[in-house]
Amino acid sequence: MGYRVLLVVFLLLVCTENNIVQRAAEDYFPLREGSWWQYANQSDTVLVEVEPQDTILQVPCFPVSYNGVPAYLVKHDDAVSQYIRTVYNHAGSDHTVMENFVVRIELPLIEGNAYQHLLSDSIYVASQLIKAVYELTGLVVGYADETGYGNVYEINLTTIESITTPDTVIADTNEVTEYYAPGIGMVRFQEAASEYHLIEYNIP
Amino acid sequence: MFVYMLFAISIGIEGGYNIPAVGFQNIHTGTTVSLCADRNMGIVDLTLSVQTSFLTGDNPSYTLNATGLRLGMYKGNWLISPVLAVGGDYINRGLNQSSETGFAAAYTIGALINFKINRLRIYPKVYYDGLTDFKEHAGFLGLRMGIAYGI
Repeated sequence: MGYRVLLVVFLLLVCTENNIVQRAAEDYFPLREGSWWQYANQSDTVLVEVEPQDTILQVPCFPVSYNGVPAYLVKHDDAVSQYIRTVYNHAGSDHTVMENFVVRIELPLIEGNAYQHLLSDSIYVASQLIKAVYELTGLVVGYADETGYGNVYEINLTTIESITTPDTVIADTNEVTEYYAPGIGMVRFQEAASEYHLIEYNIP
Repeated sequence: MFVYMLFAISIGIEGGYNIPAVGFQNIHTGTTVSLCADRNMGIVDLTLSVQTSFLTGDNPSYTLNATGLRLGMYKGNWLISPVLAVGGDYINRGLNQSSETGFAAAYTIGALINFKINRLRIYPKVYYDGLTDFKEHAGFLGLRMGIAYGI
């Protein structure tokens, strides 16, 4: 009788798609120098590369190149943060209105975790108050078991970046859905109508 | 558990401290409490225990709880005895207001030192507590102090 109960428990554990130990133990965001991931949709490819560590605002961070366009990321115990810099151009010269790190993904990933982080700052340019706001809203939608990857998390990220001048407000909204697999990182992302899938990667 | 305890020769309680040893990169430290019922089966002593572990993350808002049953064995008449146990845990991990749950198979490998004073048995125990969902394995190193009273 006892061994039958153990067998049922064993089969339940093996057959389940809920691999909580995998989700609790594995690194879903391996951010190491030399790592790269290549994604493709039907007509385009994106290469994401982690470059040698740099320091911005006295914070050691990794430049992560997205097809040559760098984003500066830093991984802490509680989050992956991204360097944000907002520039206002006046009379041909650039003025930095705001620069700082903002949380992009709260760690560890937990289904249902919703968060919002905000950066805001202002400066005077030619006696005019210029205000910048960067707002990031994240939601860990959930996880699903995917063959070859294990439990993959889906994360919705919405960013609203705005500059307010005495005359106008310029706002840019961006929505992206990213999918993260244990030990690999992002395996898929959807931006606008495009969906990119991981086709090749290397994590040293 | 209750029926087993009725026929048990000793009941006890253990408490201790865990640190992650394999996997669990987001876990900092944790504490464990367990209630045990032991019975001598001739060659070995069997122990049935209910244990709960509460672990805190490197992110202070992150917690992981594992509660489950273990069926283990040890040698009560040896001064230093190996400890083996298997069982299952219900795991709850939470961040801020969100949480997710699941089941995992669990096992314990370690050693304890028996100190006996009449019916009282006091035993420090060092062990490795492993968890697996058969896709990934992770575990903790732990140190516990147990006290058991022979009925």
